[in-house]
Amino acid sequence: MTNDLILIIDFGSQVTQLIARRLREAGVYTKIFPCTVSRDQIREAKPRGIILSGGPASVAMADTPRIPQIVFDLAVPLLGICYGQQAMCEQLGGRVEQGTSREFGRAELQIIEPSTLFEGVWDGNALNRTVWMSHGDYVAELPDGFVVVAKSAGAPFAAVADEVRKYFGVQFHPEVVHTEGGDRLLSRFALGICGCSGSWSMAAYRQRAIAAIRAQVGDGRVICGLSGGVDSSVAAVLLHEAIGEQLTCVFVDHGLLRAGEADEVIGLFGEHYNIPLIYKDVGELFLCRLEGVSDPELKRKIIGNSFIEVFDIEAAKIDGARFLAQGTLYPDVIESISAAGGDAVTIKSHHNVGGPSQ
Amino acid sequence: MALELVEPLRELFKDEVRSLGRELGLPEVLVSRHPFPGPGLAIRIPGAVTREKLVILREADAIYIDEIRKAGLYDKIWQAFAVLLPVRTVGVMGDARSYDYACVLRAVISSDGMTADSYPFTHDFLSRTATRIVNDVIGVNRVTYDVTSKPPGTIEWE
Repeated sequence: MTNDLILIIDFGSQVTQLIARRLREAGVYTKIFPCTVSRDQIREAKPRGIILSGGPASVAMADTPRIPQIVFDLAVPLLGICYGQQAMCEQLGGRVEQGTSREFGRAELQIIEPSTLFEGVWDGNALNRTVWMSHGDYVAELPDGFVVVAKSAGAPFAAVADEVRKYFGVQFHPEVVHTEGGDRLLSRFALGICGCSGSWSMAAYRQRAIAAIRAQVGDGRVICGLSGGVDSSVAAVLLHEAIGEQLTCVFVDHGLLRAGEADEVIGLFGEHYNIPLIYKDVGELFLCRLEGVSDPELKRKIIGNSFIEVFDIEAAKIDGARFLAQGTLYPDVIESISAAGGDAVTIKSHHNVGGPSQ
Repeated sequence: MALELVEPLRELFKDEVRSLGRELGLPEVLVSRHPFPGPGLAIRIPGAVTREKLVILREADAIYIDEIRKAGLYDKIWQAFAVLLPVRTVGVMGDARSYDYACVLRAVISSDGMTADSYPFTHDFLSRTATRIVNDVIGVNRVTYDVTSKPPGTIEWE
């Protein structure tokens, strides 16, 4: 049994997250794993299909990342993009060369064979389509079982297919908006080729997340810091729905909020949702510590450290609290897993008020 | 304090968090709210932060956001805010010389916050907003608009 999920193996492309975005927009649940992920993690994910991302390295050089063998052993459909295509072709017995003419930006794709991957992707019958390329290397020789289904000026094998094994490779980047029909090509792979249901939705996520929170927390008490922003507010309301009165929110007002902001937070959470809310007005403390300080990094540091100090004091007053909730988002999770850094996951500090300027 | 982390949004992208917020019935005004930095208004007051400057900036910012909402532009903009400069300039108000702070309006469009362009307000919108801020906010006598993109600028001023 597989899960209703597409796995993306990341080789360090700047646009890997866009692959996940496009698939999620099509209702397909996706996860991104770095290419150094363990074989067990890939096996346990039980994906319906795997997408191999682009990346900055060269398959033509030794000691560059390769696709873990388990990806082929699972016998699920594969879609290699750019580096992913090159690595797939090389590992299956083909050959990759460093190109003399590189392609960056818009390129014209010439479709030369029909492929199940292309079904319903483009409107009309034109055989030339605009795609986005960014590569120096190219596949020079195909592995057994593959045929070339599209080419471009700089890539003789711009799209290749092994329809029996359901292995596909494209040199262009379908995840980038400049590629005509790119989003539909990705959803064609996930829905049509891999058989995903396309039923990933926020209503389904809500139910799953509530079950997961209950399973993790049990009857323990949870503290959630509120900032008035979207992320912490959504996290708090979701937690409240899952565990009700086991949740206590802490709102540290550092006196540096916009007009009416503190009242809005108190009104919404304390009154509308009736969530136990500890409101701490420490504006004077912050202003005193900031007095006469004009260096921007020092200001951030003072605010960040003072915030942690106050939050920890308030959190310690909540009897029996065992959990701290925070509104970490997927881009933070991905950023903290380096493509080259193995499968170690570092969790960012929840006190993001002291971070550098962006 | 050793607390175990609960991160119920760690599989979601920003726009998915917004749709989950709508799914959960959070008010639209909160769900569609522009990002706001953790250090708050402190980094929108270059130089030392004072009570007086916080009061001035809050008023100017509220007027600016109100004008953006009235013009129906709030949801087209990634982030909009006022910055209070540590600079006082000379003006003339009601036949008298004034010597007050200059304030900067900033508004950017962006898909992810990594790169950004300044929002192309009409001149009419900018002059209407500037007039209201200078008239209503005691302590500001000059308003400017920041047209720097990111890169090379950052969205916030500090």
